Amino acid sequence: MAHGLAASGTLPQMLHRGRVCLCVYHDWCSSVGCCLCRLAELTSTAPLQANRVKGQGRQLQGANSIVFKIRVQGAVFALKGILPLGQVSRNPAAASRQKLERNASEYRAQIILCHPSIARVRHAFTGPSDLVLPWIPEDFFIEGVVPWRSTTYIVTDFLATFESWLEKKEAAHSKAPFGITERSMQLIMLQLATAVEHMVSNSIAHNDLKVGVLCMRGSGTPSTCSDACCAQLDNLFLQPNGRIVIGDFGEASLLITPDGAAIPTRTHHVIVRFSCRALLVLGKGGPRTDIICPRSHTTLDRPAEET
Amino acid sequence: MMCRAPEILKYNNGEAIGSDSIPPTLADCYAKADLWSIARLGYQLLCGPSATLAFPDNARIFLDSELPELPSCYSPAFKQVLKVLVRADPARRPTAQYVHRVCMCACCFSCLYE
Repeated sequence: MAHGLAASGTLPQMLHRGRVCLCVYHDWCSSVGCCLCRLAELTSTAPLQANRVKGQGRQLQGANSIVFKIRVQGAVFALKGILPLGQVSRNPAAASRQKLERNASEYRAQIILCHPSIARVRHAFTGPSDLVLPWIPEDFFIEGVVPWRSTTYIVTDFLATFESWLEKKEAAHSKAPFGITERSMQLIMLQLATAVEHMVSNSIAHNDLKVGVLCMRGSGTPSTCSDACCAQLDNLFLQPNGRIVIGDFGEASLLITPDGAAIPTRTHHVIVRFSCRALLVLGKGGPRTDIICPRSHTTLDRPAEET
Repeated sequence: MMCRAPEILKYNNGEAIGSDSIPPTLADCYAKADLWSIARLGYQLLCGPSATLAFPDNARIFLDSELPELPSCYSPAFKQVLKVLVRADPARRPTAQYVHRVCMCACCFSCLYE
């Protein structure tokens, strides 16, 4: 891992110079003065202290991002820098736009969701990728992968991980590995189920709910995993009041289009297209036809390119 | 190592999802995947290492018959909720709303008993 830039200390001022507010509610919040804009003012007036977050002897680095701990006038936040890596492209400008747009989908999904059990995005912006680049392991730079000049940064509340709660949990219930009673588990599931219900109602799937526990290496007893070989990081966090919060929407997917239309699956696309082609060749599907058209496509329109 | 719901693994592999039909939309594929993850988390917390072994990584799709036994100290009703949530077929899993109601009732009743 290269350490060309001192990531501890004052956050580089260039981060502020290159900042572009990506808040989806910018027009609204600039007039009302929501928390995102208040934070934006704070970051522009006060220097941020960026320290590499270390938990249980390992660095908080997921597959797609690197997290820093920042302070804004005494308050602690988590600054998540998306890894600015992409394939070599013939059109760098277009590829860069696509990359930023893809990164933006994470915090957009998180901003849409307003629920006490879902981590809140305080601010998001684009900036130079110099803060993140020195911390990317060298084995990430495989052939054809190049670093982008800018990347997306997301500011969220800094919360304790769910692992820390498990580690503090005493083995009061001797038959359960983590000493979790049925009532404790019911409360955990209740909070997570309400959050998932809220996500489903907003057509968002998290796709990566997990907790970094139960490493099977070593003694064989359940323990929190701190090995780099078992890259299982927490996506569940704890608020000071004990409420479980779902974070890290890097793998989240929006299940409908922005205009509310359902997104068909890739399998659906392939089968509809293949069945259209086959039925056009065969004339019409008969009783011996093995290709089935999905129910939603009972009528077959001849595609223009196949005429 | 990432452990994902069977329907997501099938979808990524290009296989048909569901018991006898193909879900026409992405919502049908992903809507109950998070519930499966919650149940897997429950198994991991309650069973320990045996649950980690039972739920494979991306290399293999999890089967209903591979479920580990939950400890006997938990009530049959609670164990049944976890069991139905990790079913491989998303169509046979309850909805998030149903799980919310069940957990809410369980928490309220356990408060009354205490």
